Amino acid sequence: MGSVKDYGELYTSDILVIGGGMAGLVTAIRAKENDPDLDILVVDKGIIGWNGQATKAGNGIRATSKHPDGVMNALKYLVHAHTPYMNNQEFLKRYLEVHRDNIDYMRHCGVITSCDDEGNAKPLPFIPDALDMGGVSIHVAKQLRSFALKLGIRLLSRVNLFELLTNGQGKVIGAIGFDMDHGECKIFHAKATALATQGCHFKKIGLEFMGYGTGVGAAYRVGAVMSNVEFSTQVDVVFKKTNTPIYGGFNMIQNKNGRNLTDHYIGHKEWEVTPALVEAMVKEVKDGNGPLWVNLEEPDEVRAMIGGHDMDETTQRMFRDKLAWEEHVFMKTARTSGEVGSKPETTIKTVIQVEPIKVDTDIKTNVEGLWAPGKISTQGNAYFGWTRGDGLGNASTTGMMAGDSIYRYAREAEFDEINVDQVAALKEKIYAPLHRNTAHKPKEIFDMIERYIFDVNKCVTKSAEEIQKVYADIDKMKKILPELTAEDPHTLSKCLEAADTVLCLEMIFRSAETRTESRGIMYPHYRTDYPKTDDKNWLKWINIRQGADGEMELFTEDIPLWRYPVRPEGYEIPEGHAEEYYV
Amino acid sequence: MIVTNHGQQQSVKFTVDTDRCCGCKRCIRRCMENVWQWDEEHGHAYPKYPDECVLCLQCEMDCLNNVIDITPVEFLQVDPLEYSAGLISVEEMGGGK
Repeated sequence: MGSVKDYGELYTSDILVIGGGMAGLVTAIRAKENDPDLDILVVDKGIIGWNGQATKAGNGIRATSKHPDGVMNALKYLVHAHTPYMNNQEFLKRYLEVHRDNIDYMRHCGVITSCDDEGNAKPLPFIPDALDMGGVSIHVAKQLRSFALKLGIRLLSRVNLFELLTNGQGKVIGAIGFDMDHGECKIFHAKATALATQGCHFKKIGLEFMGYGTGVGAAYRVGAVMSNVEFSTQVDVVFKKTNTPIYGGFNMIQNKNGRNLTDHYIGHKEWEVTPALVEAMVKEVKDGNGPLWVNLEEPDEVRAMIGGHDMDETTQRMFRDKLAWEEHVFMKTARTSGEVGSKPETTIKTVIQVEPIKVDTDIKTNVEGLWAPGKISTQGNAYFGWTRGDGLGNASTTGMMAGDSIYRYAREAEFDEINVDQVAALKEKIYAPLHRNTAHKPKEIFDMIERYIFDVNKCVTKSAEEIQKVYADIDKMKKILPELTAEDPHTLSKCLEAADTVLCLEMIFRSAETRTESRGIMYPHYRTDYPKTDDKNWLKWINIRQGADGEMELFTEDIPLWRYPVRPEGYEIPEGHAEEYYV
Repeated sequence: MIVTNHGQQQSVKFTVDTDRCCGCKRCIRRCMENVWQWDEEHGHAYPKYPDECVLCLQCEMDCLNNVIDITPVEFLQVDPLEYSAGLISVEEMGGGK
């Protein structure tokens, strides 16, 4: 047994932040501001400042209203808004308290926002005294990068990390991976680690962003618990010609005979694309009543509000730099496809994203020494509020929460010795695809997974029967994964990303199979064989962890609504518990 | 240099005037999917991994000398509604056949 340095270049820091997007940078900045003596290193597979979801989102950031009732107003709205009663309301309350200073803190960090000279954001009109919003520059990551460097935070770009190192007690003490240009092994040793690597976003294209679940996989393999993964799919109604969203146009869909689908199948206007509407669209096409289309010349009130052309002026959410990018993409699209016209054909686009690491109010996971800020834990923290356009606010707020906690831990902690055998084994595992010589390439896996985006029956309107078909696919993919062959650092990354993407896919469907009910509007869980919401049996979180035998293990946890302020009508405290909130 | 890919959602054509590439490497810095690499021998950037392109076009916007032109050839090879209605089979799909 040699030394650690025999296996790769060794980097040491008090705090290691994996992922240099908005959440990672804010975690590092906040921790450094709390204790400037801490040595903090941020590592990213891309170039820090130009990488991460914020470089594409950038269309607004929220903060809890400074109204005295702002936190509770926002909490009540969020518990009902998307995935009713699934929130961890204790987490959400703490989150909203920190979130109140969110925009102010971003301004402090040099982020350009649309606030007035006094720093005031605009109230969100449809939720009075609950949430404010401001536009934020699309260059937010670059602005945070500059601020981080001024504080003395070290940044290391183009290094992709795939596994976490642990001590004998399972505490995370670092990570291992390789640099993306030369493939050299890089080993990191730290007192505390924050994983801010985004979730797993399956093949999202255009004005979107991707993620491969490598952080999810690494955390899972060291024992981190995942939660709420069944709430992972969402649908947009899009122009068939360009595959880009028809914002707010989903109540205006007509079949070839001019019959409005919302009127016929649902009976009232919706504010999201619901599984019922998607089911109706598929049925109409199956019955030969396609093509489906929308009449943009006669917008309804939902289209007028969500898809208004003056959104940037009225809501102050969009900055000119973001709009310039969108305009460029639309212009190129139109040049190729021609204009979509005023009565375009329509179809759907499914979004699948897995962001499941379960964390506490300090954004700390159940694994000692490991935090998980940003999108990687938005399902896991049972917040769900990220779904309506505040991914950036989620990144910065959870970064602030993590930074306030991790610095205290790192200040008190000691370095644990790295286990050289573990480093050797993980290095061998990571580099294995380079030593194979088969015809199997990672694209084979990604193409199989991409087909799920087209498959409503598997991703939106799930059933026991369809879930079994997914398991058969997953088995097929699992047989290919150990055969995947890489020839350079890029394809090696793809092989490893493919494995973690399949892991995330399995998490979705294992959870979806377990939850025998339907629930939620944004990122809904919908079962055609259990179409009703079942508060009697399913006010529960479904958690996932790697079992002692290495297999995926699921277990449920009662949502402690007896400790929470917002409850379903007629809620009865289960036996063995007592009222803890209204006392 | 002309490079094309053929995906299940989109197909893309990259036209890169490599002679005019000034070597700023902004495309490499910008691309989150690692599509762009540097050609040491010829001294220019090029889309080595076009299959990974997500059509965000940010490389094109950032290019200092304006030498990148990315053209979407097809936006959606398969209609999800027709696929889900059982009117298209996997065999009829592109990309991963």
